[in-house]
Amino acid sequence: MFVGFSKKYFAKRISLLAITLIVATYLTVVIANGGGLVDQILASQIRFDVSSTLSRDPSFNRLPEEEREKMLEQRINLAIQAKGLDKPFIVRSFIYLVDALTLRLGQALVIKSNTGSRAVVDIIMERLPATVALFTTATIIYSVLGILVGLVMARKPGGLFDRFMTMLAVVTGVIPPWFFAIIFLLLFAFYIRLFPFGGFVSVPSPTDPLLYALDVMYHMVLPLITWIIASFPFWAYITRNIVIQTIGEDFVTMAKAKGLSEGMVLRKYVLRPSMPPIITNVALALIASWQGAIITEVVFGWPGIGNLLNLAILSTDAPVVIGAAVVYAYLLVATVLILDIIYGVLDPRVKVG
Amino acid sequence: MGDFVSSAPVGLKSVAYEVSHSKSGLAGIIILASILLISMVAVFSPENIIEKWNDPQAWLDKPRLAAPEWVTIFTGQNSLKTVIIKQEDFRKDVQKVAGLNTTKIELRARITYNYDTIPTEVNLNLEIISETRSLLTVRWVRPDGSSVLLLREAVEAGQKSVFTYRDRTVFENVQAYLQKLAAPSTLSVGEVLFSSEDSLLKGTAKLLKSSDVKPSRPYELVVEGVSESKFFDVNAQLNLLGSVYGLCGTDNMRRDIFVGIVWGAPIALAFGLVAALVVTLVQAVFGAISGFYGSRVDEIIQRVTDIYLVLPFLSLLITIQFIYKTTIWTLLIAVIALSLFGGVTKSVRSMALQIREEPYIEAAKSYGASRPRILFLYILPRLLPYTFANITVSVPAYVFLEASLSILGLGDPALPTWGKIISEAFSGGAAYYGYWWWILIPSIFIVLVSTAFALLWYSLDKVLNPRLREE
Repeated sequence: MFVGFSKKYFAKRISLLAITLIVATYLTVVIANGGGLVDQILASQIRFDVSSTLSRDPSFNRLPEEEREKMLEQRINLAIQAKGLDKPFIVRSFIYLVDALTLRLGQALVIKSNTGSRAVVDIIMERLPATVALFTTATIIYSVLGILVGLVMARKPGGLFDRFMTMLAVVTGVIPPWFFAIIFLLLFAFYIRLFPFGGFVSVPSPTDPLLYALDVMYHMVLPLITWIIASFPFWAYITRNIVIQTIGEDFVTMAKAKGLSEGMVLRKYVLRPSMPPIITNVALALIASWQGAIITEVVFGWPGIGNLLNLAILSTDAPVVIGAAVVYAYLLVATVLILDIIYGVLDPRVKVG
Repeated sequence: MGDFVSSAPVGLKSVAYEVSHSKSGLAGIIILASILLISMVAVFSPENIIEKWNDPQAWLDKPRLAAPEWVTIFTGQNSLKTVIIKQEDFRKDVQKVAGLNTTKIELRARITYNYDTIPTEVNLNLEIISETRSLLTVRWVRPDGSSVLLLREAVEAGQKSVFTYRDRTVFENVQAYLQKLAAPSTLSVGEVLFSSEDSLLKGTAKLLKSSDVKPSRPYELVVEGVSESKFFDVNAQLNLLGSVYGLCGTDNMRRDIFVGIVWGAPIALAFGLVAALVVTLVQAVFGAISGFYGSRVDEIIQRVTDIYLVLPFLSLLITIQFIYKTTIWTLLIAVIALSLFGGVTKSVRSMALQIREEPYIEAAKSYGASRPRILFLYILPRLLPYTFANITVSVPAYVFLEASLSILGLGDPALPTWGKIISEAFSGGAAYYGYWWWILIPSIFIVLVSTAFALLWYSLDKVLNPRLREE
């Protein structure tokens, strides 16, 4: 089945992806830590915490001045050492890198999960369902819609519908979804009062599980519509271009010349070779949907990964930022690898090596 | 976007001709030209709006959260537009009281009021020049001749602002007035000032217009100052603020949104253009080098591009902007640094691979042209039209990127940008309270710029990818 795949090619591909992953993660580690700035903030935070705890201790206050200073320094150094902050940032950045790559995501600095856990994994896992429910659903809907509309556009390139959708695609392609979100909130939440202003469930939330689910869905409608409207025209446009390019190929002309029916030509000679790039796009979008959307989630008050990232960045909680980035990078790299294999199956023309 | 067809007519001049002679290209150029014109107003205006923009004192004579004036066309209401009675429009009457060392100054402002709504604010700014305390009396006289005492107190010399709707003394005086009339004390100061005394006696507030009395008479504000000081002067300015203001309305800090739009235009365009230009050109040059030089160089550039494509761009940008909270121009540098390699590098590389094999490059090599010469003079010009198409489509993306960071509160703290106006509108609850102009007007401008560039791109793409545009 994998005609074109030699072991050597596969090894090379994997090692290149691994290098990409390592370097990208390292850059994320450095930037998320502000090039060491976050550690300085942490160190001074520890200094403050230790001295304020000690000053509240009566036995400490009874000590003579000199001893107090000595004890304070000692306690601060211990606390800094306990957090590993005594090593220079360069050294620590590599420790962080190894931790990230081995998916030991560690403890968050500030953020806690609702259950009170500080483990980055817990925090991310708690937010993940909300994001998947919204953005993965949206991605599936808008890619299917986009592909269907794209096929219609490709039927009559240059026609009225095609031109209109192309313009729409370019305009919505540059307008970020949060922009639609604000306009839709004004329109549907304020003027028409059809949907809530945001959030995940009503407060207080319904106790009945069925009602709870319905309530969540009700809150999800507007963000869902926003995301779909903001995304599907561009998908339709991409699909259209891919299909039109395939239609121009000699083997399609040949099939038409043979007198095959239009439906047959479309299914067997156009769609199949068009699938690999379309699948690539859908797969990458599905992976990206896992990350949520920082600003759209903030605008809708949606408690997903995007909102978490915003919170983490604004409280300089580097481990959470790195954790989310690293899981995403892993998923992305794995997807690229899997797509490589699928390509070979779907389109035998793909040359490898 | 799409496949590169190397046989397309891709001279820069012919592309420019084609674009300016297509409907969509022309429309795009016209929109952009008008926005450029607006920017010119801001760039060449002597006024220092940037400083004024963040100074709350500078906007006191504007109403808060007023809709644009043209909404009155649709509501059919003759809503009050801002009326400002300036110092020189007050009639001043100075009297020396004989025998005593006392000066009495009377200021009178006449306001013909025929609007359908009462003002949202009535603010009086007083300037008192005196060496002792002086007695100040402010009265409000309605067209029907009835009057309300607003203030009677001894005041120090200096500036004094009286926000009549919120002022405690005025409120107490108005309450006393209502008690005397035996009218309900729930009426607001504004309702009391602008209702006829008859309607107040019946316990309701009915707006009294100047034209309701025959012959038509104005409202009057009378300021009276009495002082024993040798030099004594009182000046006043009266602001009646309405519920509509200007072309674009105002925000919650009384700022004229029109001013923000005009001054935001050059910033939006400059940021978008510079970012799009630099990022696309740098990526294109790396792509061309990668495709033309091949081998090791190609390998390195492609691997670096892969790394850049994996980086979480927005997260990192937000982190950088948050940690080094800075101006829009350092944001620009961060954006460029995070996009040195990217999608354009990949697509330009594939084009360069095709061009490399063409006979004229072979010819150039054979007569000994240097590799940089071939790259910059023979290959890059061929790639320019594609590069331009990419620039046009990424300008609005960068305009929106600035807006996106503003939404998270990471915009430039000083400059009025379109994105910042939208983000302030959102955080100011414009979507929840229906201050539509505050959100929609800057939005319309951002979408207008995006559409203009999209139209340009569309006409460019028609020339560059004729295969995708066949009827």
